[in-house]
Amino acid sequence: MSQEKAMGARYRRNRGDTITGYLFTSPFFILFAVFGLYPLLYTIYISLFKWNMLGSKEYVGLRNYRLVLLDDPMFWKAVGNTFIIWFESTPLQIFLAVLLAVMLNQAFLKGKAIFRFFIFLPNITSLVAVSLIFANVFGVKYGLINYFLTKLGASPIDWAATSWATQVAVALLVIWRYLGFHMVIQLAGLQSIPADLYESATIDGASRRQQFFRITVPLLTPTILFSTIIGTTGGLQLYTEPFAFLSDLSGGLAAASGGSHNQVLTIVMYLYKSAFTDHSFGYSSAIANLLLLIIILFAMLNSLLVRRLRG
Amino acid sequence: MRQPIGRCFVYLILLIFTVFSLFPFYWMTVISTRTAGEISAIPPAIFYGDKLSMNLDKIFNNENVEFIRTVGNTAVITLIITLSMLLFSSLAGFAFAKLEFRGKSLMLLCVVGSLMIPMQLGIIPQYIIMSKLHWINDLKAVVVPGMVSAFGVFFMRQYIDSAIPGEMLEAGRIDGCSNWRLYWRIVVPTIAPAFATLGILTFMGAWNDYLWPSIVLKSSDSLTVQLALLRLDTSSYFQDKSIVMTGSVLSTLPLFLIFLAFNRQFIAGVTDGAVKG
Repeated sequence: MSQEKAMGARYRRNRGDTITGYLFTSPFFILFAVFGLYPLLYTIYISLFKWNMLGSKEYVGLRNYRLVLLDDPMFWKAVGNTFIIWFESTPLQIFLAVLLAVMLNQAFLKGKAIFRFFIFLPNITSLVAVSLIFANVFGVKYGLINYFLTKLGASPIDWAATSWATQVAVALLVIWRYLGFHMVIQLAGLQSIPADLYESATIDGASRRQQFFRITVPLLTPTILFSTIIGTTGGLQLYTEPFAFLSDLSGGLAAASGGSHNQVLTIVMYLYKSAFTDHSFGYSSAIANLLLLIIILFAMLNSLLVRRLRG
Repeated sequence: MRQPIGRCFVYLILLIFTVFSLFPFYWMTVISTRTAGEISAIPPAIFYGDKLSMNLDKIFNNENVEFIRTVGNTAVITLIITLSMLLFSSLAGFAFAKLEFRGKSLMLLCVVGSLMIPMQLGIIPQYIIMSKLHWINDLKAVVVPGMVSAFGVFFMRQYIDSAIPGEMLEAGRIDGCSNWRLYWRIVVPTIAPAFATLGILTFMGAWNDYLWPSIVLKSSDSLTVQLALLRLDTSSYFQDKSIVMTGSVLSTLPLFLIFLAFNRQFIAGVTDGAVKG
C-alpha cells in the first residue's frame, strides 16, 4: 500500500500526466456535458415556462408544478398506477429471488448452472419482444390464459380493458423478466458470505434454521436492499412494458394513454404523452423533475439504510 | 433440507420456475411456426407447426418494414456503441485509476454522482438538441449519446485500479513508454475480462433499447429492430400475431446466441455491473 502511494507520488512529477488525464477523460465529460448535464439543467429551466416548442416561451414560475400536484387527477392516477404495479411485482419478485438463490446455493444441488441459465434467460430478451409474447399469452379472445380459464369453468378475463387485470398482467411481465436478474444478484450476495461463519456456527451447535436466521438473513440484507432499490428505481421509470403490451393488445392509441381506463398509464408514460402528444414541454419537464426528486430521495434513503446496517 | 423430501421439494420448485421462465419462449417459437388462423383456433396451438418459412417470407418481404435494413441499422448502432464504450471507458478508467492530474478527485466525484441520475429524464432537451443538430431520423442520434457512460468509466476505473499493479506501469515508464503506449501495451491486454463484461452489458442494452430510438428514429429507413417489431403486422382486419412473434424470435436470436456462448461472463457481468454500479 505504502509502496503504491510512493509510486503515485512519482507519477505526480510527470507533467505529461495532466494533459493525458484531461485528454483520456474528455470523451466522457464532453458527452456528459452535452447529453447529460445540459439536458438536466434545461429540464429544470424549461419547467418554469409554458412552451409548446414552436411558439415563444412564457414564464410562469412554479405554476406547472402547482398544476401537476394540485390540479391534475391524471398525474395522480399515473402515480397510483406506477405504485400499484410496483407493489404487485417488486416485493414478490425479491422474495422469490431470495428463495431461488438460497435453493441454488445448496451444496447437494446438481445442475445449478442449468437452472441458473434458464431462469436468467428472460432477462436477455428485449422489452418489446417480452411485451408482445405476454400480449399473446394474455390475449382476450385466443390467449392461452383465457383458454385455460374457460376450460376450468371460469369466465374469461378482458386483460385489455379490465383495470386490475391489465395491471396484474404487466406486473407478471415485470416479474418474469427480472426474476432471474435479482436471483443472480442474491446468489452473488449469498456466495460472498464467508463459509467459515457457517463452519464455526456448526461447531458451536447452531441448527440450520438458526444459521439461516442468524447468519444468512442479516448478511444478505444489504444485497436485498440493493435489489429493492434497483427494482424500485426501475419500477418508477416503467414505460416500455405497459406501452408495448397494450399496443399489441388494444392498439397504439389506447397504448399511448395507458389503456382504455388509463389503467397502466405510468408516470413516465404520462411524461412522454404530455411532451410528445400534447406538446406541453414545460409541464412535462415539471413531471420529469418531480420524478427525478422521488428517485434521488429513494437512492438517498437506500444508502442511509445500508450505512446504518453496516454501522 | 437434509431429508430426501426436502431435496425433492427444492428440485420441484426450481423446475416449476424453469418452466415458468421457458414457457413464453416456447410459445413464441410455436406461434412463429403457425398461421394467424391456427393461433386463433380453439383450442390454441400448443405444438410446432410447419409455417415458419411462410412467416419468414412475410417478414423479409414486408410492406411496412424493410426488416433486413432494420437489422442492419441495429447492428451498426450496437457495434459502434459497444466499441466506443470499451475504448472511451477504459481510457478514462485508466486515467482515473493510475494517473495524477489536477481536479481528478472532483472529476471522479462527478462521474459517481451522475451514476445515480437516470439520464432518460432529460429526454425533452435531448430531443431538442437532436432536432437542432438535424439528427432526427439519423442513427447518430442514438449512437453518439451512447458512446460512453458514467457506469462504463466507473466500472473500468474500479477494475484497472485493482488489476494493474503500479510497478508494472512504472517499469513501462522507465523503458520510455508514453501514457498512450502504457495504455495500449499494458492496460488493454490485462483487462480482457472487464472488456468482455462491459462489452456484453453494452451490447445487450443497445440492441434492446426502445424508448430513445422510438423518439428520434421515425422514418422507415432509420428504424431499429425493436421499433420494427411493433410495425410488422400489415393486416388491417385482424391481427397477424404469427408475423410479430416470428419477428420477436429473430430479434432475440443474436442475444440468445451470445448468451449461450458467454453465459458465465454474461451472468458475472450482470452481477458485477449491478454490484459495482
